[in-house]
Amino acid sequence: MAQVTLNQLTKQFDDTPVVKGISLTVKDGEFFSLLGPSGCGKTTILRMIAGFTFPTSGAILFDDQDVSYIPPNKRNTGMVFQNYALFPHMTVFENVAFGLRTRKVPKADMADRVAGALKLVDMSGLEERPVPRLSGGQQQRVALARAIVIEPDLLLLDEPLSNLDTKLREETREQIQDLQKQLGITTIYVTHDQEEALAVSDRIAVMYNGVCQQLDIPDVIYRQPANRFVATFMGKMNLWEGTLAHEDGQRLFRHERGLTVILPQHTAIEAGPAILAMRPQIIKLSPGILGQSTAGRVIDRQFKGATVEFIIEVAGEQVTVVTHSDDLVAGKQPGEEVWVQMPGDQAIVLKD
Amino acid sequence: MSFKSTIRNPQFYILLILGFIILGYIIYPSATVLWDSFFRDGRMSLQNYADFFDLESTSYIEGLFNSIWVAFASVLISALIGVPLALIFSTYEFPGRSIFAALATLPIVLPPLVGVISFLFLYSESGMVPRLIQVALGLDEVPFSLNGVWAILLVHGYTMYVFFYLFTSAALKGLDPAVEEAAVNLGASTWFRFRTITLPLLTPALVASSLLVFMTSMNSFSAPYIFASGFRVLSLSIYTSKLNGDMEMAVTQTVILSGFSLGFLFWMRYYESRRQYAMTTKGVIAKRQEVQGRGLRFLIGAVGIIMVTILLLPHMTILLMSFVKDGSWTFQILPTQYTTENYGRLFQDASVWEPIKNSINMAVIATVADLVIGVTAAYLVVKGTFRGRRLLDALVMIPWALPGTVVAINLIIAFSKGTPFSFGQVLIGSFWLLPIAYFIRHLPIIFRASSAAFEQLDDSLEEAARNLGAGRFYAFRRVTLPLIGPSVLAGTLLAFVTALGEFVASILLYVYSNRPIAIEILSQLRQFNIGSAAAYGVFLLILVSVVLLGSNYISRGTANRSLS
Repeated sequence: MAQVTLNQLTKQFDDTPVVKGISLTVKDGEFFSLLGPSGCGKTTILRMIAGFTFPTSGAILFDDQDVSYIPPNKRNTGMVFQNYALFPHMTVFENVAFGLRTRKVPKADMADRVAGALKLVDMSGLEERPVPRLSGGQQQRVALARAIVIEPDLLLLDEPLSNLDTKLREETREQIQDLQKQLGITTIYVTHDQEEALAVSDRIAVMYNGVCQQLDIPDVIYRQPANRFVATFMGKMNLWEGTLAHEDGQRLFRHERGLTVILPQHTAIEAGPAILAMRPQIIKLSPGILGQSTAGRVIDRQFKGATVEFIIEVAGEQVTVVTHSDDLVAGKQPGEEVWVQMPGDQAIVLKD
Repeated sequence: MSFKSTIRNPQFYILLILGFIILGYIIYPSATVLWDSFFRDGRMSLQNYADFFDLESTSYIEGLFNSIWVAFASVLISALIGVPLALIFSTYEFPGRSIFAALATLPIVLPPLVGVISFLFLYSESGMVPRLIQVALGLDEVPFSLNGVWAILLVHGYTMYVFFYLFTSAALKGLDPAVEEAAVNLGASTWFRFRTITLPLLTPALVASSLLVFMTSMNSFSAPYIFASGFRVLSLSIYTSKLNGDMEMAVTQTVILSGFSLGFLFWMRYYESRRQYAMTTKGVIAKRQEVQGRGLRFLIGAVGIIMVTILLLPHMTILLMSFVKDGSWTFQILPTQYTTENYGRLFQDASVWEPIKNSINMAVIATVADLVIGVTAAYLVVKGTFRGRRLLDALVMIPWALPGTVVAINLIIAFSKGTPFSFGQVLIGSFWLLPIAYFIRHLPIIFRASSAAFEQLDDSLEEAARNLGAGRFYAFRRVTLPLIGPSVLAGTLLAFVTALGEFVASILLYVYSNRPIAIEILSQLRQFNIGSAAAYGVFLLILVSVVLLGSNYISRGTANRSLS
């Protein structure tokens, strides 16, 4: 097991910077996610950690050892590739045993360890199956077994769930998480799916444009995004540009078209231009006036099973609101009137 | 299907016509030859085979033995050139890589006879290279000259490595780079990875190219014809037996060579049918390793230039020779007198133009027939609904495996008397045997191109067109035709240029009035009219290059348009 440190890690392809000076530490035994849209540099970082590409500058440390320029076959990392990259001409057993062969593990030992790894991923009994005859989910699990059987210092997962269907994805995600906890292996997980990252990670680094936008535990990333990118990337978000004012001992956010939200006293942001962000599910809808509420009109309604997603027009603004489908207002149809309550104490104020 | 619905089905009548043609021009000639091989002096006997395998007088069996070991050696030499080239070009990135990679396929634009003749000019006893070295080193005699089996092997290596190169390159391109990375991630060294991952995944391509080279070498005629000088190989022996009037031995040798060729054809088809691993990747771009370091880049550049020079020498030689004044080049290293009159004559002198005209006429006849029969057969094999489609597929592909000599002997024997397939006419000595031979030999080219196109054609496209209100003909014209057209066109052009330069069947079947280009090249060469011979060669070379470039362009266009 190892702690991984990236120190001012930079990578350019043909003068185009892809990773711009990333510094972070993945703790020993941690489940760490690199989250971001495609092209954000997350896969490049993972490939540098695996050793498939070398950094343009900066360093990668496993514990105290600088591995930046060590060839990939000398790093003792186990990687699960996006398309699994199983060896198509080998059986399940041969695939899993491959890393043990390169490590010259004795035959008898090898069989035990392969069996053990396959048991961990519930694939016992399929040792002699040729891999092209496995289903997608089974291939995924063989790839996982192949990566952990070598007892790597570091487990690298490159979008390992993206080729699975929704149901299987959830199952496999839990399996990966259990396995990681069980083995206590330092894991770096690359994904573009924020729900996945929130569910599995100890900590998440949100990447955009080759830069780490925010690094924190999932709750903080979700509730207190550091900037506009993180706020919108982590799920549906209402954003308003406006000004922050201190009036009558109150802190107010005023949108240019008139929408006003009262913020809690402790908001430590000085007056001036600001962005207010609010998750759709914290906004409350009611059929009549209730406390500090504003009249609005339903523009669009989408029934989603457990929830209903509304687009409501309030003070000239279109606001996305998500309610439980057993809520009083859940049946409101487009054109009908509702009252909208915006809890300022749960709003997020961003400077950019 | 009941009899009534069968005779109402248009497919049935088309199949009847196809069956008639395949029976008449592919099965019947082969069967006649097989039948004749069991007769000696009009009596049925196995004496012909007894003579062939006679261990007292080994001259016949020696030809077979030589053919086999030359084929093995050709496979080995071609693999040793083609596979490393493919590996280098797909693994490393260096300046000029894509140009070198394209140039490496150059030998395929040389029509068979033309290529062999260039080697004659270059490396024979009076060839330019040995004499250049002789003069440069001040030797009394030429230091080496190519002749006999070594010349044959060199020509084979030069022309056939392309199979290994192309097959291996394609396989490498289809190889998922993540699979190799996974091996490295699991601790494999470069050599271990190559041995356990790359090589096993290349095996299907290597086996396929080995079989192809083996077959091509067994069937090779031009190189032995020019260089053999006493070295017996089976394909050439058939020709010699025929020249000596020993038709009984010629048909026996034909049967034995056919046996080998068809054996390989079916082995290859069997192998291809169970080719295992479809790669699961979609659209991964292989990353080539940038070659670092000035010295290494310089070395690769130098090796590349030398390689390209060697590859291009035959082309350059033919081009140079085409400007040589006839009869002027005798003992000098390089010819001394140059002229453009060889080309002038090509277009002005009717007797010089005639072989070209003959070749074009016969190639057009053969190709039109190939197009009609090939596309129809391909459609029926891919989209047809009758039993025996695989049989039809196999029958149409038979001529692909049959050597030109075999096709020629088959036709000579089959049409030495009137048959229903020739409308009762004896075809020997007529214009028709040669176009028929071209038709038979090149039918598989168009058939393959068309059936590949039909296989890629998704039935739902035509259905979508019909659903949107297109009539059957409109859907065919606007949807089906544009999709299969490029591939069929490329196949047709290839069949056409191959027929233009055909040599092997021609030399056994031509008559003076229809003598094709290749035969004229040979007779000009015999009269030491090197320039004229080479000018014909360049004419063919340019046509083949244009067609190959064109079809490459066409198929790239289709590849870009296809959804995957």
